[in-house]
Amino acid sequence: MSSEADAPPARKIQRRDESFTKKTVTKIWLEERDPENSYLTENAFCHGYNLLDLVRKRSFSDTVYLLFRGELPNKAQAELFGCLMVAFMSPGPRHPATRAAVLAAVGKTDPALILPISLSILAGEHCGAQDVLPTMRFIVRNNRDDPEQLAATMASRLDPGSEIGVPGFGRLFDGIDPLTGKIANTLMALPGAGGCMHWAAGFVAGLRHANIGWLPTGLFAAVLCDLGFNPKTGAGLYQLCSAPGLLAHGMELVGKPITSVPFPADDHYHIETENAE
Amino acid sequence: MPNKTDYWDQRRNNVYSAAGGWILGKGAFSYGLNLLDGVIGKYSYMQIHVQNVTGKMPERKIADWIEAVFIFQSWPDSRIWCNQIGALGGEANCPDAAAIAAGIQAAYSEVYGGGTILKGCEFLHSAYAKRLQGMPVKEIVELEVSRRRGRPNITGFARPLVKGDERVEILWAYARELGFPIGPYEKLAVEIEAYLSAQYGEQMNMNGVVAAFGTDQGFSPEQLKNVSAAIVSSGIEACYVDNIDRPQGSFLPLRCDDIEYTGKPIRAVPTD
Repeated sequence: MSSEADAPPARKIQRRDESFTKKTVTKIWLEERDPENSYLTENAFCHGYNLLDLVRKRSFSDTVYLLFRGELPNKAQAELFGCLMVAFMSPGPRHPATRAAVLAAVGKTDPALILPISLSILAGEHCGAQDVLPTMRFIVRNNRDDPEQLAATMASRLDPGSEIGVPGFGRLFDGIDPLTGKIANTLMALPGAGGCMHWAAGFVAGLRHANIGWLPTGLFAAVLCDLGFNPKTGAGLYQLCSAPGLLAHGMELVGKPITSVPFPADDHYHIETENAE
Repeated sequence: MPNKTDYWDQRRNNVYSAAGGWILGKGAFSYGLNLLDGVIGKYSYMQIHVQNVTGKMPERKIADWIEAVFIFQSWPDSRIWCNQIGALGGEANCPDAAAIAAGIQAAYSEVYGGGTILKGCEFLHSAYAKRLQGMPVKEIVELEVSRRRGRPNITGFARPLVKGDERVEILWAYARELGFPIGPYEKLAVEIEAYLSAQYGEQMNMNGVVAAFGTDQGFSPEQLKNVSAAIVSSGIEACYVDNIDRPQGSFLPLRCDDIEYTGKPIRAVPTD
């Protein structure tokens, strides 16, 4: 044993000279105080626009875009983002996040907790929010290269049946996801569809012979890239867009008996470990 | 190309569990151990927790040491970020489970809480491999510091807010009290700390202790992370409960002008 291990340094606790800000700073939201009570808001502004004017003049999807991008979308951007929100409004009743919502609901969980419970599960890597950021970074980093050639190169290095290693592209249940392909074609027909979506479509085309296609998160990421969103917002926006479906599926089971959702019988529950005692 | 769905077809309406389960009339099993048969009073909660997470029953003294780490990671100081979330949940009269779960998720962080354990292990394991190849501690540390663009904020050996960690001495002392000898990762961690302390004034933090001691006891980084997933829960709950009966808006209340707006000037909404 070394002498250092026998005699560790004298440990002293010292405050770091970190200078914490006195106020939280935001570029997003301005609250004008009530003249009589500085805790009450008289007017609110989102990136400079009066909230009440936005209520009267713009759609929900436009104002979500505004919140994250700092400017309202143009017509093509608004259409693309609005369509994206519709396309991804529900990951479907079989997705683990939706099933979490359903289980919470049928288990008589407080309805106010159904959405956060399901969104937590949507934070996963398998067709979940964690996939979006790395996929956006992959697209941004590579979209000057020929997509089909890149795909062919990557596919040529794959062992049969292995994954491509880019989260937003792959197989679902050992096959190419047909619905996401159809959604991709629908969104790419819109005027707002740009270079990233077309590049990603080319990448997918180059992977088809390896039985690899779009995953929902890959398409979502490509659209966000074309709309100029920061990759760091990708995970949260995926959760945000999926939230209506998650909540709706959960609420459909609120108040229903616990027998409304399958509960595997004992003979369908297989314990793989030996009993110790 | 045909799809091969056999794997999923076999699992439809079937659950396969290595962890265990409840068999009516027989017992409730955790990796083969019947929790309804002689467990209470024989094993501690932490032993069962570690077995549930890792599949292996730890010695009581290992579980006791881990329990000490849990105590040290759950201080009821409502300024700590995850605890502040618990406090806000209390002030907002949020359900306790929701506030605690929110705080636990917050501590899945790159700079504090259980979220840092993987990174702490990653550095220490890499350092240990270099050490085995004959690299001196000074070089190991300087290589890592240069990788961090000259900043000595190595996970496990730096801490937000303060330099040094008062929990380190106590945990090492407790390990000796429980009869654990100094292991090779602990020895290396202490040597790294000695160099960092002399050169940069940084010292080991609790994460470094957990990475070193945990590895010496045979835990993988993933197991250490998994065992610690909810390690901050007690402190969060304390801060939640502390605020549940206080008036609305009482926790760090903010006036409108307490938020500094630096965005676009007020402007008219274009139609369309």
